[in-house]
Amino acid sequence: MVPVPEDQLPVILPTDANLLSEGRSPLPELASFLNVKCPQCGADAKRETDTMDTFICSSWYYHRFTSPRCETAPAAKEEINYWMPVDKYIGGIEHAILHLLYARFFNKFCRDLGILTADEPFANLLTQGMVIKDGAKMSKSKGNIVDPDEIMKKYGADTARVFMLFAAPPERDLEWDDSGIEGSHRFVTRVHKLFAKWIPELKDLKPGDGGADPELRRMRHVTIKRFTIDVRDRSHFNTAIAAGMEMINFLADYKPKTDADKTELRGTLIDFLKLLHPFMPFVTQELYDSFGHKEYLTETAWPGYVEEHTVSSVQTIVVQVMGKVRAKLEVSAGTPEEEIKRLALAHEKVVQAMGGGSVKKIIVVPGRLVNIVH
Amino acid sequence: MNQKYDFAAIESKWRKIWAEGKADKASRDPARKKFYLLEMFPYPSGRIHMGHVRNYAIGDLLGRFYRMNGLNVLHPMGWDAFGLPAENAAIDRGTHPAKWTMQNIAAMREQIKALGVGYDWDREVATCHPGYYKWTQWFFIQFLRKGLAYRKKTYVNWCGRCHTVLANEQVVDGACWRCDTHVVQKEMYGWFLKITAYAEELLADLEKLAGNWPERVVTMQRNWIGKSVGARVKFAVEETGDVIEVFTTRPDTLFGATFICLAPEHRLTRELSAGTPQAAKVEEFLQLVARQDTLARTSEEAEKLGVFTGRHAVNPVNGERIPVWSANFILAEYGTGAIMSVPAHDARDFDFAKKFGLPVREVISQGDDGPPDAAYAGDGVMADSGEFTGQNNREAAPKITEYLQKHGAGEGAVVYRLRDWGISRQRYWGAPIPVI
Repeated sequence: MVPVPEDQLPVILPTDANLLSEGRSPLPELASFLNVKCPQCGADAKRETDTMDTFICSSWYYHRFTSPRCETAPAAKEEINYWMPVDKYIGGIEHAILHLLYARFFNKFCRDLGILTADEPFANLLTQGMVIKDGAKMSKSKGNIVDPDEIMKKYGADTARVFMLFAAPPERDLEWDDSGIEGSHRFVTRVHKLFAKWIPELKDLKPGDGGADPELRRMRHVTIKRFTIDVRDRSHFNTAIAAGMEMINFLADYKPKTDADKTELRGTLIDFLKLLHPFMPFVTQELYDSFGHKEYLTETAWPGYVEEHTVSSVQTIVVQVMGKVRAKLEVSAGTPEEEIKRLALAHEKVVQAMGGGSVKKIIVVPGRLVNIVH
Repeated sequence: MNQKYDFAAIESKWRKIWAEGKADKASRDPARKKFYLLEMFPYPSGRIHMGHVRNYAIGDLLGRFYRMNGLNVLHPMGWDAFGLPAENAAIDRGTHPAKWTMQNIAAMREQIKALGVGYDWDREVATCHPGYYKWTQWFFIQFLRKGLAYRKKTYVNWCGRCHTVLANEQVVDGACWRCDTHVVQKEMYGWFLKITAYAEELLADLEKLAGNWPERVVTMQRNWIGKSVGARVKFAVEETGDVIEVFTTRPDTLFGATFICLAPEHRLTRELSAGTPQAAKVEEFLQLVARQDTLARTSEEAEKLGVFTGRHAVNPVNGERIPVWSANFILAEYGTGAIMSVPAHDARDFDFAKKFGLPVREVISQGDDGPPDAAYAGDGVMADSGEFTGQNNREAAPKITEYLQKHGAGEGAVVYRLRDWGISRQRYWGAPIPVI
């Protein structure tokens, strides 16, 4: 038994073979495939008719992707060593041993052959849960299939994607829910509607600098922060979408009062499109285009946020007299302690509760509470 | 500005613009930090299902996010295109697996494109394409060159419904991972890859993955590789001089071995019994076990069957003469295919000894008196163990291994549960093994 010389590869699988109904391979009976000359001695010989486990094919495909048309090696060295290892690999838990163990084995063998330098093929693994309906995995035999084509036809790809990302965190099983897909579609539709309303008016405004409504600015920065942390650090895409829904609720009722507000709103809407793009790429690209921008959203930079802009500028402070809540104060963030004490003691309800007594002790918990003992 | 949300128009417009502009093309750029993002490539079964949609929606979300965060993202897609379902479907429908597969790929590609996933389609591969499997075959030849591929006649897992061999990893609870059919053992020639040569590194490097892989997956791989540290011990058969090698993780219990058990398939099972009054009984037993499948033999609830071979072996540490049995729960392909049985300290051996009236001798004391009424697998003080009596069992274990080595009766050993990877499939729609 001798290996086929490397320059005679591939050994082509004949596609003119007739399959046998009982499932046996036709190769052992296919003379044109079977009969060959021995590559070493030239004598008549027979070809191996056995085929490989397909788990071998899938044990190295991630190498091939780095230079898929390379003809001199499984992958070109500079390509495979630039791209490998895979930084994020996503798939089902059912491959926990099979594919993932075989691929690790192959990668180590390839490293020993000098094909690449990485010891491990997959630096980070995300195992996603199943999609289930009526308590069971979707399958033809159970008759609980939802056809992606129908969903896309009825609601569009953006809605299908949003639902898949909103219905459960990635590692958990996702229960299909018809009202859930309706809800996702409403959300995408509301995004479109909001932008369609504002784009004609805001399109040609130039970016401004400050002086705008602090609450609008706060919502802008809070939303960017939530999306960034949920996607980058937590892989909780569903809570990012929830933040997007809160933002839509806020913006739907928002009425700019000044030109500065309008400029801030324009900037907020554009940032919001960027945050939503990975979730609903089509509609966000269309709306971005309607703003007059020509580049792809994937070419734009993810918006940044300023931590201090994420906290509310107005604080509500509870005033207690002898442990009982008597009043609430609204002050702007950063108001000095002495000023807060003065405002608390001057409050009508507090004066009433103290009944003319003199202050023995007054404690201020910044941003939250004033406690007066008399 | 269209006030109505016309998703069909919007989506087809951008699909076209992105495709024509190659918006998702990835290129190596050493000046930039790369991010290689990959979803497990699908089997082209016909149409995509919701599980795929979820998989690709998650992937594309991350792909777009990391691109907007300045990384050079590679996000490719291809097809795991060889395999049995194509053959079965082709037989059912009177078509050819190649045709069926290519049609499915074309349909699924369009569906995935409709989803708007930002793949670099210029990198698409299909494993059934000769330009791809040329290298699959090349790998096989490299394995052969390095002595890591071999052919042998052996018992393989056989799925009668799929007409194919299955690797150990592909047998789930005694059934075919694909069609759930009961798997039987069949003796035939097959090709193997020596994944066991990498067992230690595959195990050790799991440490590098911990924290970045789900803990559950790391644990499953660790258990699957299944490293055991212990000793290999040689027992000489008194009447014939044959040597039975056993592996044990508990050399500290060696003085408590009261019998030996061979796998029914062990070469010596039949050989030893030949010429003894037990020969006929052994033959009957072997035929009975041949009809049992692995799961029925090894599960905890399974009935333990056994037969005395008619011969005895000598325990190398105390010279004791103990009977050699064969038992259905011992598998030839695990360890050495033979075990020393220590019923006082192993639950399965204890059950077996009780059933067949074999002696039980306690050699690790848990501090109370009287004969044991169950196996004690814990730690304690060595009893009835020659020069090791009175020592702590954990401390004595390496000393006993040392003693065996010094007397040529054994050595320290490491075994793995992991077996070599059986890769023969005996089917048509796969990469031909490139051998003449």
